[in-house]
Amino acid sequence: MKKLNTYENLKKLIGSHYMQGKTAHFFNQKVGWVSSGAPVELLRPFDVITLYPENHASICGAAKQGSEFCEVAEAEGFSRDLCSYFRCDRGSTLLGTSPIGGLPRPDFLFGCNNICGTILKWYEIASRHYDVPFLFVDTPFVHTAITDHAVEYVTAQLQQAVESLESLTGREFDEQKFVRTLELSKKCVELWTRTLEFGAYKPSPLTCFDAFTQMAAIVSLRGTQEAVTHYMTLNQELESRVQKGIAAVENENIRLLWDNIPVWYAMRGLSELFEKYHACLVADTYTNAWASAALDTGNPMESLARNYLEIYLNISMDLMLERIVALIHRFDVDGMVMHSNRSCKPYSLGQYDLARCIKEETGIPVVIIEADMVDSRVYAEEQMRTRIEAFLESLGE
Amino acid sequence: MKAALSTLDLQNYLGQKKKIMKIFAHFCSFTPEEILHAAGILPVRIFGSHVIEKASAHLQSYCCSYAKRVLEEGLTRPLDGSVFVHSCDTMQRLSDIWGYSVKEEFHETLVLPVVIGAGIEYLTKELDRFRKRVEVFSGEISDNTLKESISIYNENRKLLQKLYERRKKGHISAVVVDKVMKATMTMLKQEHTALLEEFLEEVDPREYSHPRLILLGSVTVDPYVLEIIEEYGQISYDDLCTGSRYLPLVEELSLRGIAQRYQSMWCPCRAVSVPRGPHILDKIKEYEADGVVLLLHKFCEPHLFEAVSIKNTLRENGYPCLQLELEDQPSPEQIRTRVQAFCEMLEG
Repeated sequence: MKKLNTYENLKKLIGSHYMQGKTAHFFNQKVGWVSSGAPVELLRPFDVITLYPENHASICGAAKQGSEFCEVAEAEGFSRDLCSYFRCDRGSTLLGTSPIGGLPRPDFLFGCNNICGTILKWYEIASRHYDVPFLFVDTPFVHTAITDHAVEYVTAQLQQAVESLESLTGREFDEQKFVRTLELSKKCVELWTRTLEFGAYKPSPLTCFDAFTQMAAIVSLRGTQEAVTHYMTLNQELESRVQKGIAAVENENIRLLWDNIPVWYAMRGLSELFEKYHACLVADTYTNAWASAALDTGNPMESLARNYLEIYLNISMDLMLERIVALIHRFDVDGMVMHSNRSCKPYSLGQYDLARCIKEETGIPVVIIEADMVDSRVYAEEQMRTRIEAFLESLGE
Repeated sequence: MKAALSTLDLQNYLGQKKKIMKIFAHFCSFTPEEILHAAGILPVRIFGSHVIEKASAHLQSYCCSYAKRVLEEGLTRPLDGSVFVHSCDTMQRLSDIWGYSVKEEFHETLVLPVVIGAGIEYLTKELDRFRKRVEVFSGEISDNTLKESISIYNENRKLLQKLYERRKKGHISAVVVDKVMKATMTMLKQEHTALLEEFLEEVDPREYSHPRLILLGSVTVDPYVLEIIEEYGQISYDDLCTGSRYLPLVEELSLRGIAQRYQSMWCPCRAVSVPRGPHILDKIKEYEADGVVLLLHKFCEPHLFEAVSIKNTLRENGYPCLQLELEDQPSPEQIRTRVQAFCEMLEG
């Protein structure tokens, strides 16, 4: 797989993001730990430093240190069946270390249950541990359509969060800065959507493994100019790849869609395996979760509420199926790979039925592989390889 | 008459009811049963059995056994409808899976807020949405009918509270209490109330010399666990969905009142501003308990999260705690060994 030049750019960007975290307290800046689905746009006007324990856990996972941290949390009494992002974060907190030297102590936590109920439990535990406030936004699950009372409820909570942030930081909420943040966030999401759209080219100039790496900025730096600049550079590189006919996977022969969070510790092995069969994972449901926002800066709070209610993991299987089928058509894929991720119930439960529906509706085959996003102890590499190879061979015929 | 309630064949009872009324399945203590009752529907809480075959085609091995059990029940013996509420991530997804695979006339999910206090307006409106959904199925539910149904539930719960009061004075077998609770979650409330009144007149709390225990957890699916525990210990109080969590009354006879009742019910799926440990300590003192048994289902995330802080609080205060993790299949021998050792340790 050809590495994107912009990768170095991203490394610098994320490196300086974590460095800012490290020096925050020295510069008297507040540090907030934020969940990936939380409306971070609300925090930016307060100039707080935002860090993402989920992103941090994925870094530990990719550095193959996830299981080690998980074991520390297990020794404290947390079940091995709990989310490995949580266990990894907990272990890193207790040890005070990680591949990047651990996350700095938070001054507050900001979380939203639109990605899972685990966030609530995880942040409650962190809030007790550090004895810091936990600002929580409850986003009722969307079954058929967003209800008016859910929008009212979330909007009221966002307003409440603003008040809490005002007293936490001793600053007043700057509406203009907020609107500017929303504009940057919108721009960033548009650019990220464009990035992912490149996967529709044949051959594709990027794979979802690139997207998994590149997503760090849309998750952690949404609503900042740096992220916008980064994705403009990335898109230029992808554009030039398309013009020069450079494919991410040589002789692309099979196009696939990936479902669920990556297996962070096995990214290299998996990408090489797919490449061997000239199979390119041209799109995935995970990184597309950050590509759907339609923020309305004219009605910021309500628009923010609606956006964060409709996050991919906060919608029913019917609605997920619609989005998956749309991806299958837009990216013209030949098959789908579902990662049945032991750590993530809202993402993984339902995959068996979704797979059946997808086969019926689109005719494409689906393979389900079981693993975990961070805890490599449950990873059966040989079994995985055999299963994927069999799938790719049947597709190649 | 004691035998009438504690030996009632609930499957047979349901078979009879099926002929004369609509029966809906539900799965959580936060289900507004009162609304269904007012609509002339019998709400029945489902527990299923440990025989899991069909559900394995829909749920991964790492899914909690309660979800598997109830889905198996739905696939094997579907009722007229089902009502899910947003409790945990697993039950939320199970609602969708159920909708795809179980044939029934009615299927609805109530999206409860996670913060019941701050979400009380939202919850009241969500209950109203639910009421309207049910009305499409059943015909109009008048405010008066709803009030009557809430009163019927309150009356039943007052008697259940009485049962728990009696239990404080002397030993009433937890197996029997469990049967009473399962019956109230299955039967038409007024019919259960009639039997419960008779039961309370006859029930006779006894002296029991075993160590006094408090049982914590979510649901007791198979009574065998209780039977084993009570061979060696005496369960004086419980903090279970199939137990004390069912007892609070609705104060205001309205949808808002139902919403407010949920505010008084602790559940690890909700935002927990105060850890559960201190509450358990109070109960230990109130019931003069010697130890605590934590009954957990493997893969049950909310309870597994909460268990650690509860155990820490108990340890810091010098109270012994035994954690039992139930797998898909019953493991009586393993449980017996651990319970026996724990109770012997308590007896010193």
